[in-house]
Amino acid sequence: MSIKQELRACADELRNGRLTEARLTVIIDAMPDQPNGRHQDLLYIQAQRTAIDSAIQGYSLFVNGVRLPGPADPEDWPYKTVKDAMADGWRIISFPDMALMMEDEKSFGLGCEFILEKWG
Amino acid sequence: MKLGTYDCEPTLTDTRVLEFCRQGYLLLEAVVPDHINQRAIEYLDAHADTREPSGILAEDWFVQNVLCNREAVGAVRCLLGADFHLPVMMSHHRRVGPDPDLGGWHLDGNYKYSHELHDLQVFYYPQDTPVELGPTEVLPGSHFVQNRQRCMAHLNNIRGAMMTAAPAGSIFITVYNIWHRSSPVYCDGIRHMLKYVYWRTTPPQRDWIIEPDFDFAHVNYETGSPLRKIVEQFQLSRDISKLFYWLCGMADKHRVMGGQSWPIPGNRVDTPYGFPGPQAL
Repeated sequence: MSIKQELRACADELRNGRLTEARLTVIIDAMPDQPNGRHQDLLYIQAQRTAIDSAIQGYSLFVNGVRLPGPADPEDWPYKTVKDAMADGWRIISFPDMALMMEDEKSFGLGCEFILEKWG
Repeated sequence: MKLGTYDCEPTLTDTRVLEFCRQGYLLLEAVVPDHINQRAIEYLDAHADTREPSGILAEDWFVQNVLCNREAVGAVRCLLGADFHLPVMMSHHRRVGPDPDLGGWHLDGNYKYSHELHDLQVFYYPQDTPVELGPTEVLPGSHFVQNRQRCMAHLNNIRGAMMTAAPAGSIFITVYNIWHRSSPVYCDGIRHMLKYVYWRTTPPQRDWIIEPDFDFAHVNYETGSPLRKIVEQFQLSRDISKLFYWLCGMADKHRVMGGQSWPIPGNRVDTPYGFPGPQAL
C-alpha cells in the first residue's frame, strides 16, 4: 500500500473513531526524508532593487547542500535578474525583507535578497 | 625595539585620501624588499604552530622594513594622523594548497561602524600571491554597508568584489570593517598572510599632501564606489563626505540639507546649495 493509500485509510479510521497515534507514527516513519530521493537546490539572489527584473548584485547557488563557487566575473553569471532565474525553472520561496531598508542614515546588507528553490 | 607611537612624512594627497574613503582599502604593491620577504617566510615557517606570532614584532628587521615600511607608514600617517601607534599583535593566516575551501564573507569581530577612522587593518603578503594561491577577496566600499558576521555565511559571488592578488612584499591597508573572505588555493604551496592594526592617537586634521585646487564643493564623492547600486541613491555621497570631513578635522562643518544640495553630485552653474566650505585655495 502506498503512503497516499495509507493516509486515505487513516482518514476513514478517523471518521470511525479508530485512528491511533501509533498508527500515524508508523506512516510518518515510513515516509522518506526527501520525497523520491530528490533534493532541494537553493539560489540566493541579491538584487539591486525589489523588482524581479532589477540587476543582480550577488548570488549563491547551493546544489544538494553544497555551495558552488560560480564564475567571478558578473558577465559570466548564469542569470542577470531574478526574472531570468524564474524563466529557468527557479521558484521564489522568500522575498526581500524591506524592514531592513527603512533607516535613513544607514545601509544594511547586500541589496534585496530573494531566495529561490528548484528540486533536483 | 619597544613598539610605541611613530611619525613620518605623509605620502597621500587629498584625492588619494578621498579615494580611500570611497573604497575602504589601499593596495601598495611590492613595497617590501625581497630579502625581508624571504626572512619573514622563514620566521613564519619556524612559528607555524601559532596563528598569532606576535614575537615577530620584536624583530628589528621586521619593524623597520614592514611595520615602518616607508610607503605603508606614509599612507597610515595620512589616515591616522601624527604619532599613530604601531601594532602590538600579529595574526598569521597560513594556507596550505591545494585547498578548495571557499571562504565565507565576513567582517572581523569587534568592528565598530562609524564615520570616524581610529584604526587601520593592514595585510602583508611576503610571497607572490596570484589568484591560484588564494589571496584575500575584499568588497570595496563595504565599510559603509552594515552587516553581521553571522548573517553573511550564505553570500558568495558579489559584483565589485576584488581579489588582492599581488606580488611579494605587497601591503594593503583597509578600514577594519571592510567585508572580506579567503579564496580557494588551487596550486601546491603555502600562502602566508600577516594581519595587524595601527591606531590613531591624535585628533584628525588635514595634514596630508594638500592639493591647492582640491574642490570640496564639486568633487564627486561617490563616483566609482562599487556599492552605489545597492544603497539608497546618494547615500554614499553623504557617508563618504562625512568620513572625509572627519579626517580633515571638519566633522562639525559637515551637514546634509537634502534635495539637490551638497554633497550630491550634479552639473551645477554655481556652488551647491548647503555647501559648508572650505573653498578651494
